[in-house]
Amino acid sequence: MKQFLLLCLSCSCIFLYGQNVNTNKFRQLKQELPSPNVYRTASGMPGHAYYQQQADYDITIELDDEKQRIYGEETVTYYNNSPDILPYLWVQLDQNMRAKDSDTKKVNESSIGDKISFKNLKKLTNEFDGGFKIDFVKDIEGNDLDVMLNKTMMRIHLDEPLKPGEKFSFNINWWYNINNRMEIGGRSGYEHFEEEDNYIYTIAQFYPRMAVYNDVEGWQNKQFLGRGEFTLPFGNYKVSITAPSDHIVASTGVLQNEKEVLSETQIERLAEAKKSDKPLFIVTPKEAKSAEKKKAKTKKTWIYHAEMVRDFGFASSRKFMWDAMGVQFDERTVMAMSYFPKEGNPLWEQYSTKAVAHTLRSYSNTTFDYPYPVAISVNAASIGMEYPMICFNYGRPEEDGTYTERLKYGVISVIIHEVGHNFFPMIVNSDERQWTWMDEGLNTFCQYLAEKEWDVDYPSRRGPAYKIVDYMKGDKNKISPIMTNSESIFQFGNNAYGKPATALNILRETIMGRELFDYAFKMYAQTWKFKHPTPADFFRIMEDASATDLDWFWRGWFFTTDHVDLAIDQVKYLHLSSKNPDVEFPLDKKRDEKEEFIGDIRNESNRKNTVVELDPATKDFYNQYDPYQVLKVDREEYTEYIEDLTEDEKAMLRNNKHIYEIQFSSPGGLVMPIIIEFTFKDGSKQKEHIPAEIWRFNQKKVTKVFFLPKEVLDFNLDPNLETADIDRSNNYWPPRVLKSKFELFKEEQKQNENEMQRSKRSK
Amino acid sequence: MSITEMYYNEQLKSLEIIVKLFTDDIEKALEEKVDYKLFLGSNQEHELTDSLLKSYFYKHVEIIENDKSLELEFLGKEVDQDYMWLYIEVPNFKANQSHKLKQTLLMDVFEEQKNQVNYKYQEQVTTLNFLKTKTWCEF
Repeated sequence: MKQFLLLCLSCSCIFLYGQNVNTNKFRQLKQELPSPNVYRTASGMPGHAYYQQQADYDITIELDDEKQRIYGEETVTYYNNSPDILPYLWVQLDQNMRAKDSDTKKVNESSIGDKISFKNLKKLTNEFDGGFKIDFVKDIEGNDLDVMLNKTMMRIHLDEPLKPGEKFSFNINWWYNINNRMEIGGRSGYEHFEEEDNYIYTIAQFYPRMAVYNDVEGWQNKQFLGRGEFTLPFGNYKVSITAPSDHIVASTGVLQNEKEVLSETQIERLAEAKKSDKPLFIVTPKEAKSAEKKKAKTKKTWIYHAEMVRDFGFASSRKFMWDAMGVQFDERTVMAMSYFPKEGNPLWEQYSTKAVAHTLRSYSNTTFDYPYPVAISVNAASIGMEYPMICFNYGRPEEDGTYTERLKYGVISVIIHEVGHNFFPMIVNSDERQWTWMDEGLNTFCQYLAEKEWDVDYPSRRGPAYKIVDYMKGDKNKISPIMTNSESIFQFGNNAYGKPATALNILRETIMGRELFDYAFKMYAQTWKFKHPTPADFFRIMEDASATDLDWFWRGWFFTTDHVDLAIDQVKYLHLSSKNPDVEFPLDKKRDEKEEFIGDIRNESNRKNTVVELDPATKDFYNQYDPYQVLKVDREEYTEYIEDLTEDEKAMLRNNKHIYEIQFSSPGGLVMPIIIEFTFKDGSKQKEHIPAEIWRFNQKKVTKVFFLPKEVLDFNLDPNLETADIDRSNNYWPPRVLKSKFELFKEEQKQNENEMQRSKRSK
Repeated sequence: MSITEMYYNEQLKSLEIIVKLFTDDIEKALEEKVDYKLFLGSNQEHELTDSLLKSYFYKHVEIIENDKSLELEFLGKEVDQDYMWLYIEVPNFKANQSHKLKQTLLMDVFEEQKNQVNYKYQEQVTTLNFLKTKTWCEF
């Protein structure tokens, strides 16, 4: 195909093609990354003119438990901190993704097989009347504003453009039907418990929200299709939520009117929990159970305030029990809390709040001290979704209270992950609509660290290099580079969570080392805390803070779909000669021995008939000469040679080093450090680590000489599985025939018992 | 997405198949057929799991060689936290003949299920992609 293209191009273009272009994998990322400027520096830090916008919200919400609706009124105050004049503002209307005319339905491929389940039919044909119903958009004096709705985005035209340093306030009234999460899905929505006719509401994207305006994207008003998540400015929120009076409302922020919504006992319990290092109930299982049985006619209003958050979420139900404990940061106590129905127990009572507390401690250690006053985990069937200070997580044991190991670790993992999102992207506020990996990848990496701090034997799904191998060796048509927009990614989980998390682990363990990596990663997190970073800022700071040129690594792992496959092609053994004829001549003789030629073997029987045998007179010196015989003159020459050597040279000879020349190749596209382990004849081992820069001249083949103290029995490339090498069969010398997974399984079957059968039998 | 690896074993003249599925996904697919829980891979695993799995597999995977359906020998399964592997052997496989493969595992449960099959024969890997709209591929 390349040949064909070349013919079609004009002759002058040929120079650009192939050899004359720098295709070295170590070339710098100058073309790929934006030029540094006054907003963002070349070291990955905010520049002297860095700015970010702010949006404050005053919201009043009513939750209608009869019709499953939200009614809302809000005053938004938008601060233009940019040096630019803004003729209009953009507001995000995410609920419109569920409107009847939504593009989300149109752009998703759909097909029907031979049969279709009712559930799937419901999803395909769903007639749910979703989307925001906007009553009005008015300025602060009550005049209607000039607005234009484009699907999930609303433009507000300003009669007078908003100048730098100015602010603009406006009011919106709206309502919408809450989606049934269990039927049509969604990050927020309700779950209905039919038997008792109760609801759990986990509510987010419930209000018109300001879009981000910045130096990178202008207005980030890329439509919400459902996958690329959110991009939001920071601001301060005052939210009052009116719900049935028997509901417990969990929310972003700090409760302002405890006395109006909580009982005296609950307030006391809350104060006690704050001092406790293990979870205590604020609403007990018994209290939650009795609340489930009847429905209050009256209402209560919960008032929450939150500062410097980029979003707001809440949950409401009469089914909730509630537990909490304090997590100490110097003088400050953060409340780790969980809200869950009886369906989540006993798993949730045992693990949820403890997992929240552990996440706060672990992530704070990796990044910065958790700055918010609370962190909440709410039980919601079958999802994991994050908002500032609050997240909705799955996990429902069996009715008899038992659960599988898979569910247990699933629950702890999802809580660590979603609470962890407070750090990325809630505080380190990257653009999720553009780059999923910047929050999911970094968060999955921190999640892996937190899991291993929970339990060294934790069955982590993502993180170790060898776990990404199956994905990276797959068909390249079905893989996208990490640097791909959120909406166009193939294999979302592997691409945006697994691969970047693995890449960071490899940087930490293999390429930079823990100390250099940890400092740089922390520097990134602390520098961009409460700001809006971009991929280039991350790439640059990791290099700037560590004096490690990582352009080759970012290029390979983030901008391509190449994989790692390193191989040992050839090993040459050299033995340093001692020059001592009594030692070396017998060795030479042994080395020079060759296999016997067939003609010589057969001719041997004719020896006695040859001329030299029949006529001894034809023999001379050369017929008797043994080149391996040590002569007096050889010994004399050796003594002279030794006398001429310096002390250093004599020591080198005595140590008698073994020299190996190894040729490595890289049939995969990614260059990586060469980590090679030598196993000596006496069973001892030695490991060498050669940085990836060895490939900087030739990215296909390199040769390296090793001086070793002993003779080597075998060579093993990447013995600790740290490079994500997709084919280990070429990593050994002498070559090893590796059994395929299939052969191993078959062998195990022959023993007629697998691990599971074995453990069953022993019961 | 599920990944299947198929190798032709020259010595045994057989086709070796390994199917890799998410444990959660296959559990969901099997549990839709029955009214009890299976607890895949745990020590409470339901005793009928293997027979359910087998019949589910045979319903969704088929290989045709010269218009004749081949006998697939289901060797067993392996389960860990995330994945389940199925092992299948096709004896007397004639690699030089033309074949058709059906792979519709999980498509009955997941609207957007995609199945990828990598077939390795004489060091050559051919990738077959299966969708709800494309349930058969030739190889």
